[in-house]
Amino acid sequence: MLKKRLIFVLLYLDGHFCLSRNFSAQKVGDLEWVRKNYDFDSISKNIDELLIINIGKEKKLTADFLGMIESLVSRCFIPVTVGGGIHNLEDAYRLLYVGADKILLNTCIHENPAEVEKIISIFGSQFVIGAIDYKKVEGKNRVFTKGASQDTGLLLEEVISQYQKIGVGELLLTSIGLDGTGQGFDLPTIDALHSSIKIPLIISGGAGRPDHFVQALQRKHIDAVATANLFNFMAGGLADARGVLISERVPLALW
Amino acid sequence: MGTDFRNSLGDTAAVITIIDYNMGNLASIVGAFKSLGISCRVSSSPKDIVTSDRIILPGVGSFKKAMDVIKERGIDEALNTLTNIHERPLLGICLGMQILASRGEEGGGAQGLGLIEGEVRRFNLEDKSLKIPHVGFNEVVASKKCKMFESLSDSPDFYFVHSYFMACANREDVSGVTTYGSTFDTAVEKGNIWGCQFHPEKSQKNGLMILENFSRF
Repeated sequence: MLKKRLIFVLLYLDGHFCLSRNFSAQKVGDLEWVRKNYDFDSISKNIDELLIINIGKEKKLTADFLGMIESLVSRCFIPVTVGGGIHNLEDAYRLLYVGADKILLNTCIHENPAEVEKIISIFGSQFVIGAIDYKKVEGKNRVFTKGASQDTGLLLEEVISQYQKIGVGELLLTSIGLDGTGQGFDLPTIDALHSSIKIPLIISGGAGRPDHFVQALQRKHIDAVATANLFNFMAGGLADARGVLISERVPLALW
Repeated sequence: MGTDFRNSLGDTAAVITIIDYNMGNLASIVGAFKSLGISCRVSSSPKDIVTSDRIILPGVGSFKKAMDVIKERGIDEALNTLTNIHERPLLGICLGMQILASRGEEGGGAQGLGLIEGEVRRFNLEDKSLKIPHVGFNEVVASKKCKMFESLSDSPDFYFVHSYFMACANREDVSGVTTYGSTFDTAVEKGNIWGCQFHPEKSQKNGLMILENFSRF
């Protein structure tokens, strides 16, 4: 049977990796530092996928960023998704070339849907994960782009429908309000709207303890969970989390 | 003996070529072989293909587009020569396995390489709560004794990401099956022609073992 997925997120900002809280980032260390202090090799053996998001202001693919991807990919043999500042087909080709398996698109889907359709028609829908960042505004979940800085004015349900129509392969829904708080995922929102989601769903924002993952992945409608919380899952933390999930009978890959 | 014979046909220490036809993630495959200490090269030239010891055919994207590019560059003829005449090993990965088939129904239909009889179809699952694409780790159950799954556990997990699958015409060609809704073919092994629907370069230790088994037999 198809297993659930535990996805680790690395937030990259000008050569450094970061912690994030409500989408406000704090630099933690560069690749070497992360490798040493967070035992990156052990992280990569305890997760199902890696997601690297460039949250830099430049909003384009820099040589440094591409070089870092190349370096990371050579050390881990799991799927790697890359996002942040991807604008067009050429960007997609550049990422595929350095080893990305999938790309994460957000702002691009709103600003240039035709380009996204072109990418999907060439690489297939499974190459694209559509990211939606949302937070409650006046009692309703509203969607934000550009690293949660721009209010699109659109509701979460509308954007989910729009993304599925364009043909992305998977959805990544992130709660801006819970991001970095370690208080747990926004399960009430996900539970309320899951019937409108026909493609694989990854949720993120709020993971702090292994049982947050358990609660989420025990739900049939949630296919994967993602966390960028370096502190909570450093060194043996992810291995422990995986162990808890397996002991709670959440179906996960074994190797 | 040894290094002098590195580039001659038939030398078991010789070259694994990963075909670059602009439709695949080559970096990960190269990285995987590198970590196993197995040398490989990347090439798009039919000449390099024909003089290789073994070939990896990767692939991400559309069946039709892949076949168009392959035919245009003469890679189909080179592959035929290599596998049928020289009988060298070939491993197709993901779309690379699918194009080994006789034909694929995507986009109105296209002819495949025809190295393994079968057809590539889109998933049409009865259980509508199962989502397409089929993405994530799933078990592959070996359907016959084969070299591909040597040293692996009974039903190892591998990483899948696809919306189409290959339905093989001859059960003896199938080396592995997977269940997602229904059970379908996910690995083939017909003599020197191997294929896996999953990505061995993305499947942690299990996947690396497949690549090692391929490089050795």
